[in-house]
Amino acid sequence: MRIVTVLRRGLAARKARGLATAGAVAAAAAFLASSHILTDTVDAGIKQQADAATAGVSAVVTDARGFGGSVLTGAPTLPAALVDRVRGVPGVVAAEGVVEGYAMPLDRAGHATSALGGLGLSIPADARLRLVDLRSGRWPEAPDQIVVDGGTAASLHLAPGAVLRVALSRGVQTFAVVGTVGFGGAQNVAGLSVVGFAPTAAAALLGSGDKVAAVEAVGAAGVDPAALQARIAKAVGGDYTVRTGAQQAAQVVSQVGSVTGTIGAVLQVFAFVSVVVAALLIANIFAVTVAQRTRELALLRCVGAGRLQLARLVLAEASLIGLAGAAVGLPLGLAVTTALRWGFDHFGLPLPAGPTVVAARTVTLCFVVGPGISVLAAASAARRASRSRPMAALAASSTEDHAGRLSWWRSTIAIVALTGGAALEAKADGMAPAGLGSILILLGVGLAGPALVRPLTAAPRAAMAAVSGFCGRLAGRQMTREPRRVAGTAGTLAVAVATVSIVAAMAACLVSESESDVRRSLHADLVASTTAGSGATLDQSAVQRIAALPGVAHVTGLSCGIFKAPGDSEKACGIDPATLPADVDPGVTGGRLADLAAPGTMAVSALAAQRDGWHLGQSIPITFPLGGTRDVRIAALYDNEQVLGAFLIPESDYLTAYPPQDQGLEELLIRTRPGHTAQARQAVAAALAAYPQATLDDRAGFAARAAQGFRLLATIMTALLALSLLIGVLAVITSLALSVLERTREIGLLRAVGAEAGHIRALIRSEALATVATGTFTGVVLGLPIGWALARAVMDGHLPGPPSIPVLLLAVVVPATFATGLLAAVAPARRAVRISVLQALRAE
Amino acid sequence: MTMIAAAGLTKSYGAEPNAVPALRGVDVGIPAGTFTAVMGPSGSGKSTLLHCLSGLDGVDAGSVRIGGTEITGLAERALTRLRRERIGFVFQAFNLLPTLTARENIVLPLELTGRRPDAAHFDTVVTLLGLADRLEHRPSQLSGGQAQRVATARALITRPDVVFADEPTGNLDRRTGRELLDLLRRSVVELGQTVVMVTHDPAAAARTDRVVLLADGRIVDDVAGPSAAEVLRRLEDLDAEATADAAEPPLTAHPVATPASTPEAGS
Repeated sequence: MRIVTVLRRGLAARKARGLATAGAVAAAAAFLASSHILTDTVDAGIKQQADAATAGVSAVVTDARGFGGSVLTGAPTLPAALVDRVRGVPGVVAAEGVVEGYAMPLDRAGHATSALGGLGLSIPADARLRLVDLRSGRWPEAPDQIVVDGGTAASLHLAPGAVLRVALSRGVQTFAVVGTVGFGGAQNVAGLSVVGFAPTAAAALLGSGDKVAAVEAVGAAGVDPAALQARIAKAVGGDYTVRTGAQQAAQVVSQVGSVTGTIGAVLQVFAFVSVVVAALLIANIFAVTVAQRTRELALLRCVGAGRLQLARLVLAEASLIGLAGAAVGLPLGLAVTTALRWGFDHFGLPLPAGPTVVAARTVTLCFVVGPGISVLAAASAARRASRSRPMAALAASSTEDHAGRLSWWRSTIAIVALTGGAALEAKADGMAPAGLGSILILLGVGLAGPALVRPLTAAPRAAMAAVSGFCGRLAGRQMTREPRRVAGTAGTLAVAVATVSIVAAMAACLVSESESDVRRSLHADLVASTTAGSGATLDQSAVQRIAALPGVAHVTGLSCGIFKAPGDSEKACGIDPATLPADVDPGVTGGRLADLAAPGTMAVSALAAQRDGWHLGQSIPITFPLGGTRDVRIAALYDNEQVLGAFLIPESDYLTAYPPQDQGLEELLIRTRPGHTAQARQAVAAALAAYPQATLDDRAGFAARAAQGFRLLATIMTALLALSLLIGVLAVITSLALSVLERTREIGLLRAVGAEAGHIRALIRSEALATVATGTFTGVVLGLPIGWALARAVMDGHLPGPPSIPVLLLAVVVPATFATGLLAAVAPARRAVRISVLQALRAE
Repeated sequence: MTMIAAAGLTKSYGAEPNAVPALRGVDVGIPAGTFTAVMGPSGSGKSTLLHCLSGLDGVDAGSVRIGGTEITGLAERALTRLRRERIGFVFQAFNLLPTLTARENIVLPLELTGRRPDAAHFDTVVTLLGLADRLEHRPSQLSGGQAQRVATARALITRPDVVFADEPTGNLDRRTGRELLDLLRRSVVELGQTVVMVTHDPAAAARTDRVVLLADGRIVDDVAGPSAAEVLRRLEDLDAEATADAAEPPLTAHPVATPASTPEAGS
């Protein structure tokens, strides 16, 4: 049978909808491809850099217990004596300790040069142990000499001989740049700014005291790295990890990879959403196509085509379109990747460079997912096509009212999914049930869609009738006549809007909760804080300088460091229980904060305690970087963790349990003399000019800053997801275009009885706007509560404040969606206006 | 009074040299308050004449005046307005918007410009067409005859200068068709409406005041107070001439588009 001919001719005859379908597939495939290409490229870039960095090193010794540290080495906890022990191992010809710490090059205006952080490290005296290559100039020898990475040198226009100000924990210091360095083929590592110091001066400048972050060793010629590794491991004991150069490279890759992996995960979520939205769009298009082609399909049946042949016809069409979409989507994905890289660079998050990697997996994925979603989405349409009975279809008129009635099984599943989802959502205190609940609710609404069209579109229809008069009413009638199509179109948009709303509502809740946490707890008048996760700290000199200022009553510095609890790795801050309540009220709910005066105690936020299954009075075996594992008793539980973090230990314990570098201060809580706040603030700001890594805020400012992370992440997510709205709008366009095509006779009739071009435009525009309004409001109404529930789940059920409304979303996304809805009506409306009465009379 | 006056109407389709002439200089006048049938074999140009007279299609040459207004030079907007206010249409099929009730379909031309229908006139039209108990029904709930009556009511509601009907009985059975023609007739007699109808059915033509016969784009005959037999005879004469001219088998009337039934295959 030449069913293939029918297929080919059919595709050619319906170019517009074929293009729309392929376009949706292409968009989804492009996002999918770019999320993989980007992560693969970044991974390859990191690997290349890491390999180059550790090329000459035979073995690297680091802390085995994983207390953080930089991406290149490990936590700065190794005693200097370890270097001698490694040097004494037979076969080792050279060994040196590497010191690392916070060092951020500043531009002329005194701003940090990298948003990701600054890494200061010692340049080993032995050339074979150096992790970096000299690009120009020479190595630093004197305490005031440094080398900087090529990226920083380029962005600040530095050449050997230049003078550079560098922010250190102990304050800003000026150095002479004597050379620039690179890491293998790359300018820097993972987007960090890197400053190399002379080996003799590094420890003092970086505040590492007598501790080192890693010991690097070179073996004698002919000694197998693995054998050397085993020998060193035996010599240093079980507290330390010994890796060969290659293993250390792999370690660096996984460390950096976990950072960039977050970006990849966000992109993949986004790609997934666009795949779902695209699938909905395609399903919608095929449903309409098959409904429209009922006659054609029935005729084929009349002339003897079998059921399976018809199903195959539809599926073959779907897979061809899917393949075409994937073929376009892959190169499009490369373009998207380039755009994303540019975007990240532009916002100060340079991704590791390297040749673009298009893995076979990416290509396969595109070509499986593209036709896959297309075929899956077309499956129910194909089933309906195969069911068409020859005579019934030929007699069918396409103008009958399709009631939004659902089959019993569909209503049953919808009701079960909705009630089950709502029940899960209502008392969910964990991510898994909350996520499942959200999916169930969305599924239920999707299944019930056609039945919901009449009630959900009621308000938009009424609005359109009020605004556009008769044409608006006519558009409303059209919508209730085709509930399935409206459900498909508005539903596609609703999924996209709901996703955006969920993220926005979640962020709004978390932002508001973290802000009110700060407002509840913070008593200090001013807070100088460093960016969390950047490694930036202040040393005690900052406390002394600020405490001496006029108007300042008291300064408390907060140092924090990583500890290990069974199955978990957390961050504790050292506090003085006697003076803390004047600065911060943690909101103790159990036990007494004063009990933290005794050594071996800890106060834990109620939330963290619940998460870890700890309770008041319990003793937990905890490992600190120094001094090994000891039992720590939980002496108090508290509510407000935004200012202090979730784990507090006595200051005296902290001093002995953490290495010098962890004694750096992350926050300064400053109390001013009554009536002198403004004056004190000015003085503190002036003093902090020497510490550009710290930002000074008053209480309200700090509350806002504490929530900044959530806010930034939410903005990025919302922006990415907003792109999926474009696919939603594409759904509106195709649906309208098909609707116009289908109603050629009706539009012609309207023209015959005197409807003007403006009437027809108003009709199509009203339909577009009402559909967009329904989709948008449904999406927002579904998305906000789900977002709130998810936010509560993230906080393990503790979200005391009322749900927050994401104002940004409502103020920007909703009007933008409406505007695009209006734009979506332009092309179909133009087409509708062009329909003349005569053309309509001739139409079949 | 002459409601429609057409002079020298010429119209061809397609581009030279392959242009197919549809009208070759038609002169016709339609007096107000008359019921006129336009007849002729397939391809004689009768539908084209209707389209040109009503401004749905442009002409190559000639003039059309409706109630004194020259319409051949009018812009699209003015033509639309003309259709809305001074012309009524009844088509063969698909005359109603499926989403509107009968009442809403009837007042559609008024609704487009937000005008209220004149209640008395609405009642007159609805009573004339016997639709009083069908007003709240949707087109899918109406029989074919009822639907055409609703369409006729819509054509009459604006008190147009002229109602153009294009094969209005083409999709109706004989009895329903006759009823509709009687109603059109009554609108002429009782409301003084001017009606121009294209038909291929001599029985339908017999209910009009006058039959204009077209062949090859020209008016070849004009019969006042026709009877069905008379019309049929003249049509057969035309066919015979055509056969003699072209030595071709006579043209049949419109083939009715009903698909052949085939037993369900493959099940």
